[in-house]
Amino acid sequence: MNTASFLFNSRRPLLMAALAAAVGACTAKDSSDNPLADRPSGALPVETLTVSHAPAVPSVITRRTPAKVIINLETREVRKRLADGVEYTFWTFGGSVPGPMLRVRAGDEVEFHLNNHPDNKMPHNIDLHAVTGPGGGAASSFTAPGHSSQFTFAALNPGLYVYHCATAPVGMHIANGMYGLILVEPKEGLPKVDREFYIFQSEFYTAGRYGAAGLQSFDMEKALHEDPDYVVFNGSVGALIGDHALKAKVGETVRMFVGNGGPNLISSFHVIGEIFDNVHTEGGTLANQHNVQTTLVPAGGAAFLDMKLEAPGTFILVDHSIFRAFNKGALGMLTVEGAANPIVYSGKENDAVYLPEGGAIQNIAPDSAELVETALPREALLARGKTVFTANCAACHQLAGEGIPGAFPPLAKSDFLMANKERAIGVVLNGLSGGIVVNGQKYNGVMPSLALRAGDIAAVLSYIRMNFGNNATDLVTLDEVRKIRAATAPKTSAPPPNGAAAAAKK
Amino acid sequence: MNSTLRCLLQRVLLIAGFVAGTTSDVVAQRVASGGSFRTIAAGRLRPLFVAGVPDGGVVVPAFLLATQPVTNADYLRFVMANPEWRRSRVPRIAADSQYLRQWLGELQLGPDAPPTAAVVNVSWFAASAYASWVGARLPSTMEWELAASRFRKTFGDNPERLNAQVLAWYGAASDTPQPVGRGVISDDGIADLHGVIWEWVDDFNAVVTSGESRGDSGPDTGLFCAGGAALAADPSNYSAFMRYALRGSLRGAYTLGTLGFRVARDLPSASKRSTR
Amino acid sequence: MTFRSVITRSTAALLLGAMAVANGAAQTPTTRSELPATSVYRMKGSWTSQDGAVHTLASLRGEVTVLAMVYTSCTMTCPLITSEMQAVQRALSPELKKHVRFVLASFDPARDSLPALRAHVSKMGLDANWLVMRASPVDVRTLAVVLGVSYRQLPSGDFDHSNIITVLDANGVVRFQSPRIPADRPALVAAVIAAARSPGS
Repeated sequence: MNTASFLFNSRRPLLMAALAAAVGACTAKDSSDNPLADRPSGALPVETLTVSHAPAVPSVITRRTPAKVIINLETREVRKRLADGVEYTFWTFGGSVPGPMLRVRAGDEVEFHLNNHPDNKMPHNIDLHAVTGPGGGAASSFTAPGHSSQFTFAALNPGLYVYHCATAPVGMHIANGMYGLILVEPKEGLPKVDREFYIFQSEFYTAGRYGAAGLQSFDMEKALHEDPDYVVFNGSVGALIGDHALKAKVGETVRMFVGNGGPNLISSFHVIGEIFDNVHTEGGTLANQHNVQTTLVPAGGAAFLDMKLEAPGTFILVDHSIFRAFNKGALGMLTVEGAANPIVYSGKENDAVYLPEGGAIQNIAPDSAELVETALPREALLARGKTVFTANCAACHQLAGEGIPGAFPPLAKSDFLMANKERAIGVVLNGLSGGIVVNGQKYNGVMPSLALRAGDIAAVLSYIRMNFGNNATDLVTLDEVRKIRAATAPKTSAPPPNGAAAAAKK
Repeated sequence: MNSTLRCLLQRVLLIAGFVAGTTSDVVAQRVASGGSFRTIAAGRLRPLFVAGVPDGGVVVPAFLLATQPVTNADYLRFVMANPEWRRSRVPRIAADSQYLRQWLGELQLGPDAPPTAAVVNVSWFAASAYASWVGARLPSTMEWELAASRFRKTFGDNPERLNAQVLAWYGAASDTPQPVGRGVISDDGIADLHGVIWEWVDDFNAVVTSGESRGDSGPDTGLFCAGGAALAADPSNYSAFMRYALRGSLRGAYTLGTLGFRVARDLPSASKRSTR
Repeated sequence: MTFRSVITRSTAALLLGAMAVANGAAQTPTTRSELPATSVYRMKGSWTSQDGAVHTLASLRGEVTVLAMVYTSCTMTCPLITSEMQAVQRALSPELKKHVRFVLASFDPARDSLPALRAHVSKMGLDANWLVMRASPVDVRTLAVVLGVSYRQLPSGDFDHSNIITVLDANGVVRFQSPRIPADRPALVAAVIAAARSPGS
């Protein structure tokens, strides 16, 4: 029996399937094994790149063959808004911070022209993290103002990469705004989504503090100490807020390409109210994580993610190192329009009063120490009573004892209070529930057992009964309180919270 | 025809003046017309990038430095006397196509080139020729940096403050050139060293780095024959870094709208030029 | 820079200018074909070669030239630069070899005296098509700048410098530069051949 008939014998379907799968797996290798494999032998077709400015992303690449792509990028020093009333002289690629987003395909030949505007003061160059070569292109693109440099590289590796200026002093060139993203699409392209956004976080270090008005200059000391005044998305405070918010619709899948130029900080990127379905951490080609709330974006690095939008509303983009979001500007918006789905998110269903006591008398944990108390003289007793009243009673019964109609009965000129001294002591000792009538009004609430010490109960009742229009002439004494305490037990419909409360009631 | 004759006569007289025995007086006039000079006393300086420098730095001998950069008016006198340096005639090897682009005509300054503003858009070859014409030379990098470090009267003993001021200028967008003589004056009485223009130096191409600055702690020994030892630098001296980077991006024929020059001379007793 | 040289240069320049004006027009005045606008040989420089002959840069006109800047006491890449140039020379056809000049220009006039230059020629085995030459520091700076060669002198007296090898056509126009060592020999050879075929504008 020869090999062919053995293999193709239909009586061995499993074997055939396994062999076919093995062959398939072996031939469908990672395209980066030989990134230049599909280069034709002749010249590549030439196209000039159309770049896009954040938050827009260049169009998806539709060709499935390599090309020679010509990129022209101009460096420009421009004075623009950093925040309301605050200006800064940015050093930029393409006149914007971040610089334009570039998009090529793995295997492309890229002819890169760096053009330094003649009005600039500084020489500039570029390091594209997508380039395999000295300095990422920096060695070959060092350009004086009014001049242009050219170099060519092969886009060997797919992925999302940062580019930035690398002229000495590098920290200052980056800190002034010279960065952007280049996407090298894998040969087979990325999965289709409905929308793509370009978001780039970075910091600014200014001589004045956050919000100080006028033209701000770069502060090297703060940069060295990694203490920025501004942490922003897309180059200025509010770049993605209000009219400039990102927009999408319910049901759409959106992709965000997120870069971080630093120069110093790592970003904890989070969209409030959304979860990232798929994340390419650090901008790599594998969608290696799913269902992520917050993803790290390294300084000089990137990440991209996609998510399906299931609910309408405004979703806030933040760096979840949260003081950066609310105090330094690392805040953006994604507004999603469309029909709400109450199963996904209902919105607020109910708004009710919340009483910490609930439907039954609850014991507030008492002082565990039972002090040996002595009766206070009258003045001291009444003064003590006022203090206890303000601390324990006024919250419900109000400072003038007027109560709240329908909720808390008045203590002022209270017929219920004054009618029965022993009953009043019992209420403060043990709480009260059920319907009562006070000054002709019905009340059906719950007063907790406050677990005050006997001396405090004597003091506060003496005070109340002699004030607020109540005309008692006799004090409530310590002995009277102790007698009632001994004689009564707490009226609870639920067990006491702990054994100590029961023990304290003896 | 009259104007041609007059013009020719001027030229002949100038030649005669040079060749005649009163040459030193004529040169003195040239020098005077190019501005006044002050003595920069000898000093020690640590260069930004160089191996094998003793800890105290290198000695820079005393020299004379012009108190102001060369102005448009100065340079106009030069091109009138030296037609091969006029915009229409200068060969591309000596100056690029932007040479004197801010002037209205080849012998006309115009509104974008005030006579008292620093001349810019001049190449190193042009600046060297001017310096030679006035009997002077360009300062060396070390001479220029030494003069530019002496601001104790204004900024005290704190180089940070000087650095911060310089960085503020570098960070601001370009303005039209300011008249010279108004910027901060150094301890030696030299004006406009910071904040007006970049300035050519004689050895601007003494920058032995590639523009890939992250690797500057060690030379690229493929590109450079260099002394093996690490290139040392003072990483906090950002303003020196930036001047260094700018010089390293230049070629001799380049002209920049923010790049001009001033001249220097040896002290009369000196028999050779200062070491670099 | 001496006063005399100032006078010499300025006088020459002024005389040239005067002649131009006398001709009544601002056009190229000479009858001899002018050097191209991008020719390195337009620069001033007075160089003395190992045999004592004095060459201005303009006098180098007429042959394709492969040129590098070195100094004879250098022990690092300068010998490699020279051997790369020797390899380029060996790769040329016998006919072409006769018409291509190889030039080493020294950074170091203080130590590279004529005897030192001659010693270097015999040490490296350089034939009659080689010029090893020295000039004043001012002329060294001028040549280096026009070629784009960076260099600086160290406190030790040695020099840090670029490893550039330049191919100039017969009119002194730069046709190709190899920036590093090891050099791109095939490209250098191809540039020499192309420069010899078409001298350029």
